[in-house]
Amino acid sequence: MGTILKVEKLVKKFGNLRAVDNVSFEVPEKSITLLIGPNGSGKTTLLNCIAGIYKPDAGKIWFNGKDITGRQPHEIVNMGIMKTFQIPAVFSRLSLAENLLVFYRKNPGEKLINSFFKKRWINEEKLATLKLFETVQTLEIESQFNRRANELSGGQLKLLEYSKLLMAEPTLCLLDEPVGSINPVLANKIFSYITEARNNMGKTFIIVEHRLDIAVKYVDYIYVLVNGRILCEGVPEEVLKRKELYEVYLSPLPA
Amino acid sequence: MVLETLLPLIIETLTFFSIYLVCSSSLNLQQGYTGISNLGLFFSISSGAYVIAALPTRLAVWLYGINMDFVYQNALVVSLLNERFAKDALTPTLLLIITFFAAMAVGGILGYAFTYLSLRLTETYLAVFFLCVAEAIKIFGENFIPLAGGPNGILLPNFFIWLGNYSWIFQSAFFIIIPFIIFAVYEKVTRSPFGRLLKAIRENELAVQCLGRNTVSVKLKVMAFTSAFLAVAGVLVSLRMRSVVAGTFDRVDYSFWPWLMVMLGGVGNNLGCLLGTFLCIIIRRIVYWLKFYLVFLPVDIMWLEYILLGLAFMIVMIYKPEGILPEKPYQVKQQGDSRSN
Repeated sequence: MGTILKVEKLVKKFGNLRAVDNVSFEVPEKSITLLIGPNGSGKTTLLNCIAGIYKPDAGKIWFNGKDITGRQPHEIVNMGIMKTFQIPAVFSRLSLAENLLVFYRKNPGEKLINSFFKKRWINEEKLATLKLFETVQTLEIESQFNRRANELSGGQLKLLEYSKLLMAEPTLCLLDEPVGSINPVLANKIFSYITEARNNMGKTFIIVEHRLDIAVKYVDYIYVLVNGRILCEGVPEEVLKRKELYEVYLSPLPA
Repeated sequence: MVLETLLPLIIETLTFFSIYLVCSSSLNLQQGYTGISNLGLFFSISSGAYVIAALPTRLAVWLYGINMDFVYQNALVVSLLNERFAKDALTPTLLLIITFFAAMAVGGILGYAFTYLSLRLTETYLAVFFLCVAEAIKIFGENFIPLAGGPNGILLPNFFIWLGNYSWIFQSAFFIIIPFIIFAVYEKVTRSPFGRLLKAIRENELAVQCLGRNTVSVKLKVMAFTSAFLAVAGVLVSLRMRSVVAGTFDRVDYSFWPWLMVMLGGVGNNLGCLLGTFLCIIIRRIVYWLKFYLVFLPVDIMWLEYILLGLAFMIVMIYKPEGILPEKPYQVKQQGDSRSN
């Protein structure tokens, strides 16, 4: 299996704070990697640097052998990396259906010149609508279909955020707390979709998640971040036995 | 008898309405759909007026070999041009077509340039930036005499004089049809996936970038496109007045009124914008007609329309802040259903 993403000595500073401090790691293709660590340890900043939302202060990021350091977010998405947000970044006054149709990426009608000619975009729009129906059925949010996004519950917004991946189909998905505030049944379901997407469609995932009880069952590899540095790494069984993990992140072991 | 008095009044009101419709629907596309707060709408409108002031008449003077300065001997040149235009249908028509394209180009380029300069600004800062830019252009127009006659303005020849006695009917049709074509274009654009993308940018620009869209390029396109049409409105206003005075393109008439129309009718909804424009124009006209009967009021009638519309605006903001016809999210009914026009 080849390496899909390579991060080398990445540094991101906010003033005096080194939010990401000299982080290097590699992500193999078709894998599910979990990033864990206490709040403020730099997990989201790391994802934001990869997705192009922040420009790193030092270090390099390679995706499929191409240097993507410091590129614009939209260029990075079009190369195949997509990030979902911890606080759902959806379009609140648009209906759920409209939101999903914006998540769909290939519509030629989104060019100003094409927008005058319906026949240039109507076929793609139909395909997008079919995909939209598939997605809402998968996520069990059909009933919310024509409601505005600002009328949805917190959990439904999380699902809407996750649906970006189903509509846009990136190769590498960066998920920031995909199952926070989602009920355990659906959370397990989302993780099984992730596993399925990995197995059947060859997608790669990097996930930040605090709900280890659910996440650990599905992931291949774990990195523990503390104060912007990688504290330890390994396969789940190994990492969960590490003593330092309990000291900094999980509650201390009973004596 | 009644028809003879009423018809010009109706046509006059309708032309006024149509021209304002371009201003308000352009603002709606910028502010209501894309979220670009533009308080300096009048820079695009005045750019069209400056083009018609500076370009076609000079071309006509050159074409006919009239050896006079168009700005400094303005009245004389205009009367000479009117005589020539009365016998010649081709030249004024061609000049008008050239003017429209040139105005669209100038408006588009200015819209693009000023948006490019202000890409990092949002909301209030952006609105104030555009206001400053537009005021600066107005001051330039008022003081740079070769452009549009400076503080005195200039007269324009009648480009429709060759149509004879009924030229005003054709003129009015022209003033009404062009704005409605522009409105139809806006309606077409906003009902396409592009319109949906604009709304998404308004809601959350970063999220749209993280979905792989170049929002900067979209915003630049929208501003260039709407500014080009606003410049057309500027040309129409000038043709209707048959003169260009830089000072008349001010923030009250060509920024605040369109804002009021859009806010009153419904932001992000073209139909609401149409309604808002209609209401504003009708209220203004009624106040204008009543001015001779309202002499007992303690205020100058000139300010009454401002007071009334300000009041209407406040009432709408308190009881229906989303406007009379608020934006409705697009509804998908069933599987396989897609956007219909």
